[in-house]
Amino acid sequence: MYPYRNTTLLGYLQKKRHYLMLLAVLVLLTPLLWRSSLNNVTVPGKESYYYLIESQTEGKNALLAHPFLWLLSFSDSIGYYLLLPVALGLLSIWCLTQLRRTLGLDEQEQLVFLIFLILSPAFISSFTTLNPTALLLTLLLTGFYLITRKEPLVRWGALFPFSLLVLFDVFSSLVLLLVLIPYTAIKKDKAGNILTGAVIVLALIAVVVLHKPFFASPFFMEDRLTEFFSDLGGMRGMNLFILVLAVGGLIRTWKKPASYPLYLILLFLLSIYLLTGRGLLLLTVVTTLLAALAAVYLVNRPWKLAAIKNFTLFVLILGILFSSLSVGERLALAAPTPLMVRSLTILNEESTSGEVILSSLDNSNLIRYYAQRTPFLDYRTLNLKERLLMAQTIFTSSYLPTSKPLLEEQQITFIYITPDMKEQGLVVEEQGLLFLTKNERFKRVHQNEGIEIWRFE
Amino acid sequence: MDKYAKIVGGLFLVVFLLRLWLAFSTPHLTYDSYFHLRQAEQIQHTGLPLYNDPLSYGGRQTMFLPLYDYLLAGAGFIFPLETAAKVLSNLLMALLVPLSFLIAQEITSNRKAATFSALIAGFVPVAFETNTATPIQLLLPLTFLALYCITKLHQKKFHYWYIGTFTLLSLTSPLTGLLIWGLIVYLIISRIEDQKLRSEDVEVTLFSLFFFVWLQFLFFKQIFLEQGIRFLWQNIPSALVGNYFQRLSIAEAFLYVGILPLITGFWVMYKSFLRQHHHLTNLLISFALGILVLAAFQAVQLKIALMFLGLVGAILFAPFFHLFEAYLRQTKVDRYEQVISGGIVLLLLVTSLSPSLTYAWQQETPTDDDIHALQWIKESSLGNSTVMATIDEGHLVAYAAKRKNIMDSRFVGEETVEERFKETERLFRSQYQTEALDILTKYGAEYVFFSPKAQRDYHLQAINYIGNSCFRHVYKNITQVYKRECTLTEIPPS
Repeated sequence: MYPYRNTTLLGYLQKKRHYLMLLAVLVLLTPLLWRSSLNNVTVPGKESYYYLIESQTEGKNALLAHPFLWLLSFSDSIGYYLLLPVALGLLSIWCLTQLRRTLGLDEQEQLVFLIFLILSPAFISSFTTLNPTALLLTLLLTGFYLITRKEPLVRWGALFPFSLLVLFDVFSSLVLLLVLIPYTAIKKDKAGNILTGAVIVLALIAVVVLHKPFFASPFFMEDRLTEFFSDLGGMRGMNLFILVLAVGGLIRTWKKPASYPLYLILLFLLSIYLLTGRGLLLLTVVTTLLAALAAVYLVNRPWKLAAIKNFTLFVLILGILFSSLSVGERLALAAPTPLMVRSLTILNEESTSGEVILSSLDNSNLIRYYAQRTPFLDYRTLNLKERLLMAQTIFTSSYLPTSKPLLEEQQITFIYITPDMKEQGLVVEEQGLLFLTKNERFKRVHQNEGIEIWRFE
Repeated sequence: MDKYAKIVGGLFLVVFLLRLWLAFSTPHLTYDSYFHLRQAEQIQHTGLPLYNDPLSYGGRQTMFLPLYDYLLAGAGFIFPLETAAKVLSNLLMALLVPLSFLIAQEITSNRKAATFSALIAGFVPVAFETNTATPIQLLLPLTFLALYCITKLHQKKFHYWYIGTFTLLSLTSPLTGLLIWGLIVYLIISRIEDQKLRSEDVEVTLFSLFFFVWLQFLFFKQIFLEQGIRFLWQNIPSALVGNYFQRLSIAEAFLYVGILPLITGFWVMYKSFLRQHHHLTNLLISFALGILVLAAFQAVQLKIALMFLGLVGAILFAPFFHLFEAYLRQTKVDRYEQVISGGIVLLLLVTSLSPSLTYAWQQETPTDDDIHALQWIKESSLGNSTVMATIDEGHLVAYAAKRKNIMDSRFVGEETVEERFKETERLFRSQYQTEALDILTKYGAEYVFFSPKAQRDYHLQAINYIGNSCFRHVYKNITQVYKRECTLTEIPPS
């Protein structure tokens, strides 16, 4: 659609698609290598450990419980856990390089889209930590890659990734159908229609027989506005420049019939995010696509202010790169740190099996995984809300007659405090629980750089 | 040089000298200015601002845009720092006179109308804080210079002028976002009204938006990451939000902005909004509307919003006068043009000059005795002492006494502002010595600085618990300083 010169870096990259894969490898491995340079060879992100524990618990039933847990159960090596999301990310990018025509993009638009996507915080954090959304995107793209092939047998192969997708949860089935139905309707594809019908039947079976919930994951964004922007601290949020460009992309494609399915998906994902605080990775993919359309338009349109054009594009690139670097740095420094792992090992040594540990809900999976003890607050607990209130009372009360019965009734024998709990204001130095620890019934077992372990006797 | 250029030159001098006279009639600067004086002092010594401030909030990391402080430090090499602050700030504000003239002339091509705009711009009451030395004084002229550059984008040299001006703006204050917001509002309204968007306007908006956001992220990255979307409300303690974003009656708005620019500004908005051929008029109107919306949603301080509105109103007086003059020419009153012009000048002086002077004389500044008391603390206390004062006086304590404060008016990036605010209030209002000792011990504060400002702010004649043996009266004058002699210790829970 737009002319381009091969002499530019973009032109060169356009011809050599494998450089894109190389860029993806580089971007995804950087946070992991950065971590390892800090002597931290652990899977980044506290949420990752929820899935690791779940995969161990589910064992052979993992496939029906959740395909992601099934995939995790193949190996218990740390290398596997670290490289699995990276491999999924690379497969996703490869599929997208093959889906240019399906997405209605010209070569330049596709190239910019993929570069933006690879550099997006959502892509980097999703494909370096363990989370099912990464697999969801990969299966969706793999399925679409297969369905767009000419060979009938290969096309029917799409049923495999799609069947795995419906085993995730209702949300994943809805996303799949929302993409699949418009695609087969536009293509007027008979085989595609049958495949869609099969997916609908499988999704219904998953809901009725396997009782799939709307969302399988317990994690969601609490502060939706802040988490939406990576530059405001959202680990899977969007870059503000990409959002501005996406608005431009929306204006560019406005009222063009080919864009209607895209609007539908965008509206669905945006509503889901605003209502439930989930689905940000998928929303990022759609937004990045729109942003790429606007960016290519910006580069190719004749500017009246040539000096300002170069400056604007330069700042735009810097802004996107800074955002990626920032999220890479945060992933490199993300929990668990070696100090945390060490303290959890001490907790394991100091406590006995069956003892209950009080800490933040965020820390629960690390306590289970590294200390192999029962956290008082746990995503799996049925009366979690009640327990959260009790924990809050214990953390904030400076009055021993209030805290003591709660600690005793709930059989809490250890308290595990991390620096992020202090930063979030869950516990405050010299106040509440940390004031009560001056009482003789509390014995400090371990203290190192803000991490504290207290025994309650 | 033609007649009008000479008049504008003269006006600039008159405004500058009048502002200087007012500034030097009051001995000191407004409370917030002392933060920038400290920064300039630091820049003069080390070349860098105090991002790691050992005195603010008892010592903390802080982040701000430093351009104004560098400029002040530079001026401080010519004059003593406090004098430099007064000269620089008033010079910058006086520059609004020629800038308004240039912009108004671009809109109307009527030099007489533009001269009237310049006159009004020189006397916007709310901008007549002659003893204030803050980045706002640099932000205002740079914003209007940027707007002037936008009007001249058909000349290539102004592309570079705009890039330069906008870069300086982005290094001056986050309030530069107001200009971008104005540009965005202009584009949105133009699009809604199916007006043809000028390619230059879209390009300038995109550049400004991307560059500004990128630069702010560079400076404030840590604060954004820590505070998320809350940074927009500047972390102002909830009890103070009302003061910062107070609402005004129509009469007050007239008084602060000036009757004539406000009325004619609204008239021009009503008559010519989106019907004007000159895109700059629409841009200025959109800019004013954007600021009004932000002020309504308490996203910008009312005083700052009024400053911008007053200046936009001053510039919009030119198209009003241009139309008024054209109308007069069609009537027999035309022959009295000189008299009418004189009448307008008189009306402007009465409605703008008089409130401006009142506004300048009402500025809240520390007294001589406050400064003496703080200098006494500086000489008599240990270097690492902490002084409890009102929030507004926090910067003054750090500047004049060179001692730690508990709290000052820079709230961004400080997690404990709510707690410190409540405890400062409790300290001054408390009836009980133990409560006061508890607060002072918590922050390690040895001195209580009780000034006439504290008396006014907390409606007190004296601090209630003083007189007990734990506080020694160490500085006695209009301003009082008390030294804490006891420490409260806690008994472990049993």
